[in-house]
Amino acid sequence: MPEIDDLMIKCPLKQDFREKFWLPYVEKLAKKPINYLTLYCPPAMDVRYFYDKGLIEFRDGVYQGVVGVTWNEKGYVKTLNNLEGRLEKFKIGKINDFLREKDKELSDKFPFDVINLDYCNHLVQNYVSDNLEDIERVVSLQKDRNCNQFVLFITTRTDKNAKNKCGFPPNFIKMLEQRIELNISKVPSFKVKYNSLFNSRKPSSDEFLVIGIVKFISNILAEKEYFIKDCSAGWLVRNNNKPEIELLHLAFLVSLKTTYRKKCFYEYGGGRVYLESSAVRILDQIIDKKIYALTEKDDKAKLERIYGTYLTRLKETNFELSIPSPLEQSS
Amino acid sequence: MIKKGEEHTIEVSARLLRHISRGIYRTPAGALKELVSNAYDAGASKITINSGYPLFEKIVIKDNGSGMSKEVFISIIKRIGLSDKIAGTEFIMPDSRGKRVMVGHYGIGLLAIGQLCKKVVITSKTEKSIEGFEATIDFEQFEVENIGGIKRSKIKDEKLLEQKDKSIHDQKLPIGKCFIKKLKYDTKHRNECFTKLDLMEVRDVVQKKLSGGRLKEYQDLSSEHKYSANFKDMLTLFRDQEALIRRGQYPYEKLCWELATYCPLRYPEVKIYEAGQPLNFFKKLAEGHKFTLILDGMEIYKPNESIFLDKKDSGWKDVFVWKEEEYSKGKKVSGYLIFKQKIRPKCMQGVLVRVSGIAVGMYDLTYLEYPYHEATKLEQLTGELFVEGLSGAMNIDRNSFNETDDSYLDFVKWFHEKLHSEVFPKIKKEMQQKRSKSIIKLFDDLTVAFCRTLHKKYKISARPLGKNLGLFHKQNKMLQINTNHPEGKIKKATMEKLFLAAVLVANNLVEAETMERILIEISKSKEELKSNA
Repeated sequence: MPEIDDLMIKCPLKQDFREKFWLPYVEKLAKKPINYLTLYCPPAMDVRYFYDKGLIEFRDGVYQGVVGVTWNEKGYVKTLNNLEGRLEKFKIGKINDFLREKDKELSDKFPFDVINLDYCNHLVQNYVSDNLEDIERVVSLQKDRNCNQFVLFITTRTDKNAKNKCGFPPNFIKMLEQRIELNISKVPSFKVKYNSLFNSRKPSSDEFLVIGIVKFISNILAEKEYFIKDCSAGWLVRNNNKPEIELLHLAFLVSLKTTYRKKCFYEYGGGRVYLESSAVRILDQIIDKKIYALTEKDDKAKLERIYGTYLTRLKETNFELSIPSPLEQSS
Repeated sequence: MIKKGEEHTIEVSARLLRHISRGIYRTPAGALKELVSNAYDAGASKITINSGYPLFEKIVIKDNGSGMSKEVFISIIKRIGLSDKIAGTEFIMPDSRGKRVMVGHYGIGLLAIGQLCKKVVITSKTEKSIEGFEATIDFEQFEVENIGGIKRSKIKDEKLLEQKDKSIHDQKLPIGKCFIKKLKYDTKHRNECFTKLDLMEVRDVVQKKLSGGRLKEYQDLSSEHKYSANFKDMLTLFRDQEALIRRGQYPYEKLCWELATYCPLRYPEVKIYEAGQPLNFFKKLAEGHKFTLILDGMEIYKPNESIFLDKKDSGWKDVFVWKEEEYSKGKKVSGYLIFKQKIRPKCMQGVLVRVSGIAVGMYDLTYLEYPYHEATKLEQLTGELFVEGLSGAMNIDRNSFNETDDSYLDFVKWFHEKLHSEVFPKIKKEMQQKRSKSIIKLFDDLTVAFCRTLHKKYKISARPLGKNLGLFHKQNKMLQINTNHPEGKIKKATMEKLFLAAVLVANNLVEAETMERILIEISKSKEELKSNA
């Protein structure tokens, strides 16, 4: 089975998410060009796309204001191969390692207008998740650098057909359940919306995950006095091959609280759970049936017709000299 | 029946193979330079290299040169060392008023590829054709063996090469197999031409060399990936980390540097190349090559020393420029030398010789073995010489010259003459003048300080008063030392003696004429002692 990165490069479903989720959220910032942080970025189609839409400046062979982080050297090669020039900064490893005090190279680039945390695995895995530390540290730096508003994209696997290393660990799921219950009991606006949705039924596992993870992220944001101004969610399901892979895409427009509000939190499980109402927006999305899933089986062919040519053009232009492809072998 | 492809054996003249196999491990940059030269010779205006950084598992090189037909390619691989491409041949660049002079000899670009990888796929198409070809070559004859703890390439049939039988040397020996198939292109691409090289299975030793892998064997050295957003960043890194680069770190940056120095590229956008500036002529010369190199997404250009100027830097002391001077009948050279207090990075100290814009070797701190000793001045010069008519004098690796070649000898003679009669005398004179000025200033400062300390009302100064006047000249409260007098030259070694003498005269403790006689006698005695010794 091809690697996820290779699938993502040509994926029309992913492109649909870029068009329907990402672009509208970035446009809400009403800012050009943007400073953009992208993790963990081998295909670099997001950079190409934003540049194509005029949101990223490309000058002197450099995508200005764009910082990328990739897991390993193979990813590094792939990303460079997919670009017309170079990113302003590009690192190999975990962003956490780069954001520690002594390493100024990356932290000096904050704040960013758009942050894309695209995990090809689960947001939280069986071990203590570095990914969550990524998010916490990134948000913390945004606050330290006085960022008032930014866009945050998070992509995580949510497969139900999990085996061993895949899938959220049970204690994480339990924690999400308890947080939702806490919010239902303590945040009236959340309770009203939640009950109106699930009065006569239980949330599906997908709905539960979306609500739970959004609440979880909102907690991280609230610690730094950010609130969710708007959010959206959607699934990309790779079901042409086994095992089936589900990728949950989340988009947040995050703003700093401009008026002082007494922080409302509960001590919970050794930490604090911040109760804030902005995550109720995700419930609105569910009510308005704006959360949907794109599947390879049902949607790929249709979206290929819409985006295929565009993606080919986007993918095939890189820094290398463009040469034609042969038709066929002559006799 | 469709013919799917043809198989051919690549053969190289034994004489050439023997020559190449000695010291076959040039740097990867040297091998890549060969390929860039081939693209240049093919009339390319742009070449892109995807080195696969930082893993270097696969290298892709593309150029928009004239390409080759399948037939031409087959003739090349059958006759390596006996190529139709002759160095020094002029050809007209398409869509250009300018001419290029071929740099290449012998068609040995393929051998360069064989040093870098085990397998290459060459795709090429010529203009006004809808057909091209794809050739897959296995360099089975180039193998890397660990011999005596050192990895080196070994040519099969090497024992055959060692034989003194002359008939062997005139034979051609196989170095690999080539599988060729025809390709067809859409008619809309008829007027396009290109060559693409996919270097696959890059040799382990090349990968390790470029990624710094070999350094992991040493505990105290490690190779770090330093990302550069563009070539200017990389040059800054190169300058700042030069000491480490000499110790083998940052091999990729070194590769970029070498390619930038080798290739006939444009100069950076800095003031010294602007219209009206001393080096504008060379900017135009470089632009005339119309050649661009993109390496891993960065446009590479010539690493000119001036871009490393720090704010504290004082800039040039002097620049020497020669435009189209004849060094031998019908053969011209243009060039420049910049004289500067400090040249960094140090690898730019010296002179770089270019033939048709391509560097032959690196900056030479011996100045082509200049025979005179010039102390530190040699390290304070950097420059380039663009020479015509030396293509035939280049050795096969294009990194050095045949030092017995007549044209080369004429060129060296011209250059040494310039250094000896023009460059160094002028530098010395300026340095002496500067030294004199600074010593005189020091002397003046000394006298001012002395007078202030002792609240004296007289002043002492050193001035040129003409050869007819004596050593000391009193006027009112001023005692002047005549620097035109033989005993009046202010030198560091004699400054304090002269000052003491002046103080005694100023205080009327000794008559001016008496002191002058004493100083003359002292000098005479010194001379006598020297000659007796």
